[in-house]
Amino acid sequence: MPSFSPGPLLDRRRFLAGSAAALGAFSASPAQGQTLKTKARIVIAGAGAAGLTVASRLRRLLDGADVVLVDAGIEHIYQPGLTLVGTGIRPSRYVRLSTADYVASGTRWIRENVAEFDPVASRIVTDKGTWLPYDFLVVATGLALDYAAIEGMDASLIGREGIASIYAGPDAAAASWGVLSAFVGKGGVGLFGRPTTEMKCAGAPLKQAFLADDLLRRAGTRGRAEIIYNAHNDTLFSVPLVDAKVRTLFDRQDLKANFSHVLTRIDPGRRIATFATPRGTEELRWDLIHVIPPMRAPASVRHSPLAWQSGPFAADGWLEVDKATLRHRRFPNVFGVGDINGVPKGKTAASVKWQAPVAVDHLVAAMAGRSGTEIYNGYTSCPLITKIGRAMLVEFDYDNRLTPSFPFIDPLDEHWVVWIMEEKMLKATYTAMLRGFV
Amino acid sequence: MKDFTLTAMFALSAEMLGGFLWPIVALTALLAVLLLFALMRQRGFRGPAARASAIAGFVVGAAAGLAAPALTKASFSDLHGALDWGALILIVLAGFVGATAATFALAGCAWHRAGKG
Repeated sequence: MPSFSPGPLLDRRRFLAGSAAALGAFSASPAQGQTLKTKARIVIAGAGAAGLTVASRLRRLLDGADVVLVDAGIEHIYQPGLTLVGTGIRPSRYVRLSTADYVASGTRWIRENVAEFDPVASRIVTDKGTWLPYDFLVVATGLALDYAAIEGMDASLIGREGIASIYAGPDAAAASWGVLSAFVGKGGVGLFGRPTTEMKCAGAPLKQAFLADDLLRRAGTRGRAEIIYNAHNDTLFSVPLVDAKVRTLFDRQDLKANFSHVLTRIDPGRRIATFATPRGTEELRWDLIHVIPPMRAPASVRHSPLAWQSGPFAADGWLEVDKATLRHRRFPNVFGVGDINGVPKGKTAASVKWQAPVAVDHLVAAMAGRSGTEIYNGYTSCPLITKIGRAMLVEFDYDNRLTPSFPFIDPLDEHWVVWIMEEKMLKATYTAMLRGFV
Repeated sequence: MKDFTLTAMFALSAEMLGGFLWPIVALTALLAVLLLFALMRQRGFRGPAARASAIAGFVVGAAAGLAAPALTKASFSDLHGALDWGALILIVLAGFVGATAATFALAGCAWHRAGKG
């Protein structure tokens, strides 16, 4: 295990912190409206939801800092909207945004990707060979989709042979709508499920199944279709109360569930899906299969000293952060926000909204030579669409406790109001988050 | 709930309305001024202007309530419980109050200029 060697960089950070205190740069927490004067260099790896949000917040709290975003992506995808695209509710352009529109003023944006993290030397190297030293690093790379982990599967198959998968992006989501609408017209066997790995928006596979059911009913073809959800373990949802509710909905809507079924192989030509189960392999034929790929950390993190070295998050290379402060457990000048974090919960856009202020609080506090106060409790939110026009606002923490933001909304009840929040208001909330306002 | 500050709500409105935000704010401010003027000139919410605006408010409120589910790709059968029906009632009331106020603001001033009521 690499050790953190203080060396000259920590001396530089101590100097920065001491200077800030000596100059009386702040007499109250920056969160109370004042900015911290500093010359610190902060590199943010990734300009997705997490990276842009952190940059916006840092720019508001810091005066003089060099905040650098590193990401080659000029297009920003509003990922919570992919479910709507994949079910024909919204067109693909609905989720396409421009990264440039959300890069905070005064932030440098290097249009390259991080290829290597060197936290011992406190620097990153990009895929174009650019070296960027930092005083503080925020890892917000997001995660990588591993379609190849399913034998016979490739992202290029999406939209063909009844194969759908919304996670691969707007084009894939639109192609998924194509195969779903064909399935709605003809009926047949629809297979849904999720991988055993950590994944972003774990409720999305269920939403796809519910929406497929609703679309079939609207088309009058539900009697010709069978919907089978293949759960990777013995639950449909990780939160027990929600799991019970979802099972009730499955019974009501005549959705079938197979438990402990993990997709390992597909044969597109024969339309046969192979699942690993406790009783051996099982083959199921499909007319529609919604494939959710296994997910893991990008190679740059996975192959770096920043990844968990042991424990449940090590195999897929997730970032080793303290689950409450989101500060790296071995490299104190490194923080993580978003899907990359190896924490028990929190791979949703709503989680970013709660994680970003916590990481920023502790980062700024470290700059100022004091301790941060904010804590991340694992908040995760899933507007669980059960049909077009209704959804449940499921919110929970690390301990699977339901944590409703609105006391008047029962998280286990389906409501039109929650559907409106998802379909009409969520995108605006998301973009306001990118600008650091919520 | 603690995150729904005025700043956050304004930012949310700005994201939802985009370039329409400030024109809507300006129009609302203008109508508010005209409404105050109309109330002063009509000596309250009264007369033909009030009757006309109440009718307009009723029509707009009812239309808003009837259209709201469809505008969200839903139907009335999707409304469930006090939360949803309460929201629909609020939409109807907002339509009624907004249309009544706007109509009275314009009608009240027009009636005044025409020397009526």
